[in-house]
Amino acid sequence: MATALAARADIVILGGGIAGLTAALRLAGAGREVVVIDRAEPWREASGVNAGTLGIQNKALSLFPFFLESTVEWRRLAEVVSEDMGYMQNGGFRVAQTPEQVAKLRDEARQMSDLGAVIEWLDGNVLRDRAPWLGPSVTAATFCATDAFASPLLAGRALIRAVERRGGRVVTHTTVSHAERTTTGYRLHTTGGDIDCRSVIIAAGAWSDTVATLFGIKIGLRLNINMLSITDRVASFMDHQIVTHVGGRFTLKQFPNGSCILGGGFQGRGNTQTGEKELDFEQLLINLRFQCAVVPALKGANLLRSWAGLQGVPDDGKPLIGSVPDQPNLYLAVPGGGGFTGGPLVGRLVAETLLTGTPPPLAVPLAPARLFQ
Amino acid sequence: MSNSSLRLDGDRGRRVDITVDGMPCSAFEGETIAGALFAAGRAHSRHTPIRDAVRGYYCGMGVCWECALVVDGRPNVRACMTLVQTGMRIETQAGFGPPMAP
Amino acid sequence: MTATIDIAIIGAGPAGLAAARQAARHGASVLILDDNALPGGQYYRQAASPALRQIARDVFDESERAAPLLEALRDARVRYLPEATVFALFPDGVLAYVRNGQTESVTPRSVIVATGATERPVPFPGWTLPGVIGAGAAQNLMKSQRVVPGCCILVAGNGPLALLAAANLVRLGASVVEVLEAAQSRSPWRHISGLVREPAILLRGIGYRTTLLRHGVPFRDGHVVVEALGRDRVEAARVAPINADGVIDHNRARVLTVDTVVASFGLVPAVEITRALGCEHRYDAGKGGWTPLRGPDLQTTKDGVYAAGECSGAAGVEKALLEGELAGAAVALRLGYDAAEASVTMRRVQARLARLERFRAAIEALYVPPSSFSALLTDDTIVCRCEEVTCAEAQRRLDDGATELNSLKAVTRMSMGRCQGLNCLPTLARLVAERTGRPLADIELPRPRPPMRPVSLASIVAEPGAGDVESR
Repeated sequence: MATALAARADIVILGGGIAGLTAALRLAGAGREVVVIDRAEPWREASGVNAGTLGIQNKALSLFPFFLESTVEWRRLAEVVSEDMGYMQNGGFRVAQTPEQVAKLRDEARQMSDLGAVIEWLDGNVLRDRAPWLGPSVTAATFCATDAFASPLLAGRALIRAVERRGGRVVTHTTVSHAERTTTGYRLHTTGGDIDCRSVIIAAGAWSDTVATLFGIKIGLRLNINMLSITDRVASFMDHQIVTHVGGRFTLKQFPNGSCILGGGFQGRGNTQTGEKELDFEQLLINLRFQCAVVPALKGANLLRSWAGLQGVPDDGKPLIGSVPDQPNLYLAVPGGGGFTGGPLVGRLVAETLLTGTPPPLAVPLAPARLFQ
Repeated sequence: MSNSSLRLDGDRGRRVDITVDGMPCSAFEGETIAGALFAAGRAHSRHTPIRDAVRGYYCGMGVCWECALVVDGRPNVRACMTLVQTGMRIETQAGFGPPMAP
Repeated sequence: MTATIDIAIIGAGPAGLAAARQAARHGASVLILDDNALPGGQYYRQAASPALRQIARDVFDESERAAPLLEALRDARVRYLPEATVFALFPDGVLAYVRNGQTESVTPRSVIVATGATERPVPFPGWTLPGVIGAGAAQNLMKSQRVVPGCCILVAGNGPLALLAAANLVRLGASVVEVLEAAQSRSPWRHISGLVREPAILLRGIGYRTTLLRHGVPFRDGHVVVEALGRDRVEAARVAPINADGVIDHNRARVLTVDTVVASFGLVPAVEITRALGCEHRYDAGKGGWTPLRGPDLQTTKDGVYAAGECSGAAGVEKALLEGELAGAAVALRLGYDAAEASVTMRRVQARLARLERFRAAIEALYVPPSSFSALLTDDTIVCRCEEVTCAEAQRRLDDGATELNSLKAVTRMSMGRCQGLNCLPTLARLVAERTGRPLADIELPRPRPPMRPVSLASIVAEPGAGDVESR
């Protein structure tokens, strides 16, 4: 991984997370000369510390076509990347506890079905039989067989190696201090020397707006500081299916090694200036209580670690995919609210926009132009 | 120290009857599970989930979790941090131990 | 819980108790949290019942020796909570802990971290076999259980704790086959000027050696245990001398028939809380590894957070007691209690600590270990006990080009188990340092994340009011 910086490249990708590396994978696969530059070890921020949930049922209906394709993209990615990414597609439940939640669950399940998802309705004894580990307060659930998860721990190394096998380079511990336009593209001044390139893709997650200022543009991301917790390894009890909640702020799964990962996006504290992330203890307690109310068996496990990750999201919550207006050959690939699920599709769509000069239909409504109107 | 036991000689107070893997075993008030097991000449607590290797009491201060075993059906109880109680059922933990009660 | 507390002390060992006594004496209100059921820490670990306390009192009279310290717990200004696991000390000053199946939090005006130290893990083939235990584990069985760990015991390691454990075992009538010290024999006379600073401690150490001598237990310098053998527990141990150039001489290895190996390679300061909080730390091999940077008043680089005792460098009970006293006085002074008195205490203790440091340096020089214990590792040796990762697997990641501990751990899961890395991180750091040619001080350890020790989710999520929350 200790690759030195080359003097030039066709495409430089700033950020070695899920969006940057999947873009690099596609571009290197198309024979383009790609260099991914990360200011530290790649895959260390949101991509490496998220919960690994790959579901559609907990995603915004307004972006449903994007997410449907995202889950297909993940499956494809897990096949293309030969090394283990900890990908498992055993389906997932979306649960409801109160009558209002049940009504909302039913309504949204119908809408998701209309949009092309295969959603199964479960309640009563059928639900108990299918998921006896759900607590008695859960009165109904929907099940989607395409819901999946991947291991954020394993996926990073697997992707980096896949990029490198295709001829892409990943340069670590290198910071860009200054970017200037040249007649043929950009010259980036970095702590590892200068590099000339034709195109630049900004894929720096929550730091994308900081990186964008190097190019004189302002994209304005708000920060999600998502807390996560992991338990010790316990006997397998939920068949490696994921659980989300119609009320939001809930994701749960048990990895094959036995540890359960409890997420949902309860907010901690932190900022991108120092990169510090801290827990909000009150919020964490609410988070953990919520989890144990939905899946009481968790109370038999020990909490090993809680932490937080930074996610940068545009005001409208949607991903940013494509070229920046009035900045030739400058692209954004920011998953935003698309998160880890949307990451690989963001990477592929930005790569295809760059390769063809035209955004694919799914990327059109997600183009950065909307921020600059 | 008497020859038959690793317990030091002396009046140990109230006797506490427990079972270890189904066999009756005597312990004394104030003893930890680890103390009672060692006194009975038994050093192991569990078999590991991945390699099925045998492990037991190692750090003695609650840090290493090597002495985790099944107590009254509950997995991952540290022998070194848990006092014996009358009627306690202690079992060697296999892998992750029994599934958690819902 | 919203009660105002001047000082929270984490740990009821010698340093924590001494700090509590001193701070309360100056008028401060104190909360002591400790994860054990009884106060005293590892050093003053008490027998767990009144009956057990009467057994072998001639060897272990911890309750009596600690009595003046334990007195502090009866002070009206001191609130002592046993069996409390610290969840975290947060940057906003909130100290959260789990106790009696409940989560509680306080916001003390100052915190003294007195968390002690844990056994230094030195993996060797067979070290995961039941019957291989740490010196602390052996002491704990003897002190709190009045049980000896085996019928036929090898004590091996590096540093004075191995000697102490061996002497205690012998005094209780256990059969100790041999005692092995990895450091080469050195003349104490070269370090005599430091050693005589603390004649009482020196005499105690000589006493341990005399005990072994009297019972005919061989004590061998420059020897190490290279393998524990057995199927389901230790049945034998292979031991070998270390040459003058630090190389293990396997040709002169011998096999001893034993049922127990007490392995003691010194201590690692328990710095999880101060590291998680972001206090600055520095690596010092002589102190056992990473320790928090502190001012002369023992304050860390975080305002209002102090560190006292073994968690700032393992150096024995005297230092822990003195540092506790110093931190207690310093915090009292800071909070505006009894300024003149507290200053006098501080100056006296600081002078005494300086003398002790010269003794500690002499002991360190006497016990200089071989340059590395890495030679004990074979491919199959388990490095990470929790995730069952071998040395070969760790080396494979280094072959792949991993240069940081963090990338080593992501794929192998090393250090991510229930011991939270305490049993493997020192070894992993060593492997990374050796492979990359960097000093240990340059190897960044993963930052500890709350909770500081695993806690049952049932306890964390229990609603307040569900159990006994009264203190003693």
